[in-house]
Amino acid sequence: MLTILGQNVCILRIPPIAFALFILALIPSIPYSYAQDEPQRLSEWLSSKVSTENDYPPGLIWRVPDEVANQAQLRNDLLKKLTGILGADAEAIGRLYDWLDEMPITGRVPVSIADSDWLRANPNYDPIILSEHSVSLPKRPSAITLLTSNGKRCQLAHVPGFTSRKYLAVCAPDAIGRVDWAWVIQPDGKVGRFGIAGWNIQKQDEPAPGAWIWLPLREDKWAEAISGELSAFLATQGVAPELGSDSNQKLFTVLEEPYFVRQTYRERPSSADGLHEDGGNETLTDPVITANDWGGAGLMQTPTARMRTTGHGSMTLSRTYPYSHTNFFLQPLDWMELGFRYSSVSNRYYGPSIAGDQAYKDKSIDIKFNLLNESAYRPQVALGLRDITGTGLFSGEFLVANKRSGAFDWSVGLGWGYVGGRDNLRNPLSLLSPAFDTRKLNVGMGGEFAVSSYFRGPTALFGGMQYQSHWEPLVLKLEYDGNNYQHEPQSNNQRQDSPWNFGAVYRAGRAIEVSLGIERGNTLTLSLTFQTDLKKMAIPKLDDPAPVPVSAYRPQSSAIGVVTARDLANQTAWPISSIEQHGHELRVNVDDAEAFYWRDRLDRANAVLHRDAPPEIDEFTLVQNQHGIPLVEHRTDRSVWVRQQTQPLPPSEQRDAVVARTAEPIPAVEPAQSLYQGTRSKFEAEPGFGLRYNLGGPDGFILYQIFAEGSAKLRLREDTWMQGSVQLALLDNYDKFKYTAPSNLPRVRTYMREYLTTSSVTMPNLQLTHAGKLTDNQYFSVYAGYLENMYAGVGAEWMYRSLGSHFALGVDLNRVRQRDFKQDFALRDYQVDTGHATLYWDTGWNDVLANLSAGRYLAGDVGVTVEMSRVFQNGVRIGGYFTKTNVSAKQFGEGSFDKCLYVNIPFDAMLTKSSGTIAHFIWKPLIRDGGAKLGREVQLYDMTQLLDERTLQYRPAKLENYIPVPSQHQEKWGIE
Amino acid sequence: MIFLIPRLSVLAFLLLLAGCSSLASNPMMQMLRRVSPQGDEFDSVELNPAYNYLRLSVDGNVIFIASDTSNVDSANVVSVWYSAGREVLRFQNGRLVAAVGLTSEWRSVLLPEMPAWSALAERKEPFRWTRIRDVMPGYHFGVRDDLLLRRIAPPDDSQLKLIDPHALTWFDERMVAQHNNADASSDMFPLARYAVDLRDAKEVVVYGEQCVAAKLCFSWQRWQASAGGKSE
Repeated sequence: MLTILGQNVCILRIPPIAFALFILALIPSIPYSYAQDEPQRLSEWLSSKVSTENDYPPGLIWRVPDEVANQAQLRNDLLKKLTGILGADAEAIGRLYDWLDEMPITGRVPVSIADSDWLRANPNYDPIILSEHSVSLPKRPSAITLLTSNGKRCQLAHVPGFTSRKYLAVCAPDAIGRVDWAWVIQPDGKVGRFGIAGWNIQKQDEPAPGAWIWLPLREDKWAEAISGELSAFLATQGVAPELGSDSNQKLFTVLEEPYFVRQTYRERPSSADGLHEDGGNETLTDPVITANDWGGAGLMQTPTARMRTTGHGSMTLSRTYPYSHTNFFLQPLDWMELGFRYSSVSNRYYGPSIAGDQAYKDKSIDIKFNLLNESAYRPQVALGLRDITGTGLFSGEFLVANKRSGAFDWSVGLGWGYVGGRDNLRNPLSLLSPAFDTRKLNVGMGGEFAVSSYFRGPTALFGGMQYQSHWEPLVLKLEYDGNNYQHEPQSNNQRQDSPWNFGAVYRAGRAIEVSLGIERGNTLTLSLTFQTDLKKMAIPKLDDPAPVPVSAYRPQSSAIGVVTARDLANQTAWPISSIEQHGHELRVNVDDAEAFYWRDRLDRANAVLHRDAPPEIDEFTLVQNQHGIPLVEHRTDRSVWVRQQTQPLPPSEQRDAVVARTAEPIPAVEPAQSLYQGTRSKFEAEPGFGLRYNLGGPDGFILYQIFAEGSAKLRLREDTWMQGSVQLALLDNYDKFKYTAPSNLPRVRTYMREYLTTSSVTMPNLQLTHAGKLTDNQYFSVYAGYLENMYAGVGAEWMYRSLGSHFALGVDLNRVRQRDFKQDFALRDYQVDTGHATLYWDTGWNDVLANLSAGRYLAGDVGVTVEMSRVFQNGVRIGGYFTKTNVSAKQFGEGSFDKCLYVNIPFDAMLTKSSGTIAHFIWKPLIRDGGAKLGREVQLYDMTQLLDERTLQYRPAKLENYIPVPSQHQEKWGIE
Repeated sequence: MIFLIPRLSVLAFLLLLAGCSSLASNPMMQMLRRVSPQGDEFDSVELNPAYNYLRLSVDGNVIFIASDTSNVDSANVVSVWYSAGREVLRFQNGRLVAAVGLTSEWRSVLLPEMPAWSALAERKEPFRWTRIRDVMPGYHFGVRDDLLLRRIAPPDDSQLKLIDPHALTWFDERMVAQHNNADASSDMFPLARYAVDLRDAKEVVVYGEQCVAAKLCFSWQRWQASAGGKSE
């Protein structure tokens, strides 16, 4: 393909022949010559019209009579809500009611871009106008219509560069401080909600000529509640009608002239609340949230109450003598910030006995919760805990509030522990108990939640402000530090000449921040932040084959055969075992398919089948078999699917074209007609490369190894196979790897160094597996061999899982023996029975998944593992787990119990070619022997992933130049 | 020496596997190929002579866009050009009048009646003119650009291929003011340039450098769809 993708330009290429084919494919499927009352593409209608400079495509109205009923219902619901409002100004409500009641029900269906050339190139956006439909194209309007919750309207001339706030300032200067949100209903039907008060001002769309602006007054609490529905209804109206000279219809400023002339605006009220104005333009910026030295949202040393957007991920490297921090922060939920860090203390040694002259290292975990969202009168409030489970070197807690006023964002907070080290305030919690006056240092084994120390001991106020400068990349910071550095851990007190820290942040695009400042009045500080929004990670699939074009029509005859199977395999990378026709249904058997964005691959498969299937076929069924087990059927209603692919559909005509259902044998009413029978190699193999790393160990901050890997699979039967892999170390710095962690338990994992360094050629896995289905919802597997790099043995797993269920239950039992360090065929003496019962639960709340696992671990300890994760629609998953067993913290050793944070990112979100695999980024502060699970290569939960209803919902994040089909039903991600 | 045997046997095994599933088709390898620098080899691709082409260079990367407009050189004809990514560019007499489907769009452009290129070439003083655009995203409708067009000597830093720059008449166009845009990021555009073939009483703009937004600029050149690719 070939395209321009805007500011971060990405070039896609196709061979020239494909180019020509593409141009031919641009020719719409519906012919151009039509009788007046025959279906016609909108692009044709636009092309056939004599266009003038005054035509206004954004205001185009495509009327579909079938939409009238729904829109009438929308208005009735709105009117009913208005009549049900108590305690409001009855006159205002009456005005709104009457006005809405008089508005026409248009049946309008919005169009993406009413540009005939673009629609021609994008037929799936190009509506088909049926005889009962109508289209109208207005002349370019020149007015903007404002509507407030007192039911009056004001109409002004559209002024390029003006935002809602400016129009309001013209119409009603006295209302400028009483409106928080402007709902802008554009003439093309798009609705945007924008903050216009000092506390929530943001970048926003200008109202286009003909737009409506709904401005609920703050004191009218009811008004915000109806805003969504009101805006949706106004979006059906198209260009706002221009009022005549009837001044009764005008609000606030009654204008004698129909519209202002531009000069008038130069006399308009000046900016307020920190807006930057320059002549006629105002510079609006979104609220800026930057990292502090500790990686979380904050100023320099101090945190703020601000939360980044959900899915945000960042790495901040900061240096303020003698401390260097490498911070990783994630925002799994909109109310929770989670982070971990490695700290280095450059004037203290790690310990000569284990790490020579390496600087002291510490690991810590932070968490922050949003307690209150900001509004016009109240601040945003958050509660945070720093270094909650480490050795407690930097542990501290804080309660902090933020209030924004235009370009300024003010924060004030109360800090405990390290955050409040200045200790200039008596701990207010000591009113509850004198115990809060004293903080117990927790530097023993570390890793435990030191609950008995939280919110105790030294307490201090801190605060500051962040200023967004006129130059958008530059942010300035000033703070009053809550720490005076006179109670530093490791007797490492630092001189402080001033409690005030100040600095500047340069934001190089959205991904990088560089911060420079002075702290303690005498110390230079520097930090660098790399960040991204994980939930928006996506990349064009430049190396996938071009999708097969979808015709609006069915072919006249069947072309199903070898070419179909070949193209199916080429488009989906799925092994096709057979194609059969059962009456009006075409069934394709797929073996061991892999994908992450399943729906995209299904669409590719359907395009091939539609191209070749005879006209009598109404349904495509792809039967997904995993290791010989028929798991799921993906059924596609051909007509519905083709319509969805070739035109935008009005909301009333939309329904699911593809559904998943349990795979069932077809009743032999009609004999199946075999159209293709594939053969599959019993042996398959794949080479690859890998990277493994250990962070923050005493032998070096990073120990890494790059290796080549070959994996292979030999199928003895469909349900029985031998699999294995071999690895060859290519590059590493394991010569530095000297440290073997101490252990009070059987050394089930702490021989990690020996396993990694003994041999450069290893065989991590070689096992025989048999899997099957016991009943409709019960699955099993038995396996034997070298199950993972450290253990060999035999085992079995059973799982109960039904299609679309939020719950699944699995049990695995294993008898394993430790492998030799060389990871060849030899074994060591240690052996153990291990296994777990695991409950998998899709909570349906905030896309959070939970697993609870209980059983016996490798060291023979017994306990539970709790895992929680947040999953986004692009498949990125942020999660963590902890394991608590009957091993005491002392026995466990440093870290006290096993815990881990992770981010899983589908390769589909990062690579230009589709892949079914996932990259796992795992952070385990320490690897010890307690709470260690067997790492099984084959797990039934993964093998049955197609039973998860999210499978068909995972989608690539939208690319920057993605244009939505506005009438398309927007799938809600997750389960409400 | 003997310790090398396991390594070599594994390497041989991996090479054997590479025969089963080509490393070149590995998603990671393909990604690496994508991020590697692009050479000029793309200019030699074979294009379909049934269509007109523009060779676009965006940040050093080359793409071709195609048009089925019959008379793309006529001063009054708006030529429509399509990318394989289904974006649309429209030009009129060498000037961009629409860019739809990109991250920055010009949905509509209002141009004044412009003097002929040959007349502009004769002018001693720069020609000042105003363009009005509807820009997306952000609904920046009615953005007004004040532009200053003047004849220049053939530059030596253009992306022009296969044509002697001295055979063409060159102009640059400076944005002197941009009004009515609330988008804080809408900085002034870098200089635009046009190379016009005025020989034999022609008025054909064969090359241009143009920005759709301050950070989305490209050069374009009329390109002949013959084997090996030739500029027109």
